[in-house]
Amino acid sequence: MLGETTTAFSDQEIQSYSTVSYLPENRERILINEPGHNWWPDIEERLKHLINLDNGWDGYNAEPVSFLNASFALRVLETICTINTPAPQIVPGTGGDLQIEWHTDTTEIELHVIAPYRVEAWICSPETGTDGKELILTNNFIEVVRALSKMMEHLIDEAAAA
Amino acid sequence: MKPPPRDDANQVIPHDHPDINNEHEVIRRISSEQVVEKKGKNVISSIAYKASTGKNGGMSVDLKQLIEIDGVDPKIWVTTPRWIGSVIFKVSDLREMNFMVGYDPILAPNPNEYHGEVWGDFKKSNQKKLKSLAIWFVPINNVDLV
Repeated sequence: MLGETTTAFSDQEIQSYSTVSYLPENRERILINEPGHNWWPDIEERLKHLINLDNGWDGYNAEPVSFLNASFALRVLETICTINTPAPQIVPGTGGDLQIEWHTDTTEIELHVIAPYRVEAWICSPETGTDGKELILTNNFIEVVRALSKMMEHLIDEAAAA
Repeated sequence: MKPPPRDDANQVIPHDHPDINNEHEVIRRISSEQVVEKKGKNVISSIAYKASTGKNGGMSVDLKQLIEIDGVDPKIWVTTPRWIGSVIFKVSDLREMNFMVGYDPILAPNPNEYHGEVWGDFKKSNQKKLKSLAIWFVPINNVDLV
């Protein structure tokens, strides 16, 4: 019933867990917001489409993108993108994997999500040289964050020069 | 064509098939799902030039000469029943890059008796080389190779 609350655990039970803390009594709602990028709904739609691909979508025996990989990709994007990051492109691999890509005039970034916490990254920018830099990533995406930040700087410089 | 070597799970083991000659060609189907926009052009994503992520995974191809021996038109074969674009590679070029080109007929769910695999190191430099060697076989409208 609206206006009433229920407690699944007694106060005594809660106090036995040191990591549990009380919320201020006057806080009525805690909202988890959608990330603020204007491209976020398009990315969610794209991932929904990719996890619903038919088996054999590639003309051979490819599987659709796995829900776990799509979910992990969203978490990665949520973590590494700032409000100004341009929209990534997402392409499916043939074994349930996927690739997140950015391509600008100066910078290319590709994140091949093979499985959650198993990502092959390639960054090619003025900082890396023409061959680019290949990385194996698990849960630390700091190099990608730096590359995205540099990519944005280059985009701003280009816009200023134009 | 001699049957390919298989492991205990009946999966084809990566191999360089002796009946696939250097003069032969392989066709790699390209789905429009793997097209990206790059510097104002639509191009094939690098992920199309990678091996599948499963066990013994290679890059799927159709063996053109094997299709032709059976009197089938390869362009019809690779676009039926699902229309899809494709590029073609010379086997000699792949072997020069230390790739193995093998035979891996698919029995189900989408049978393909002309199916082959390309196995090897799909590192970035090799993906770029594959991209530069690829020639359209069945082009996708408004998509460039590079």
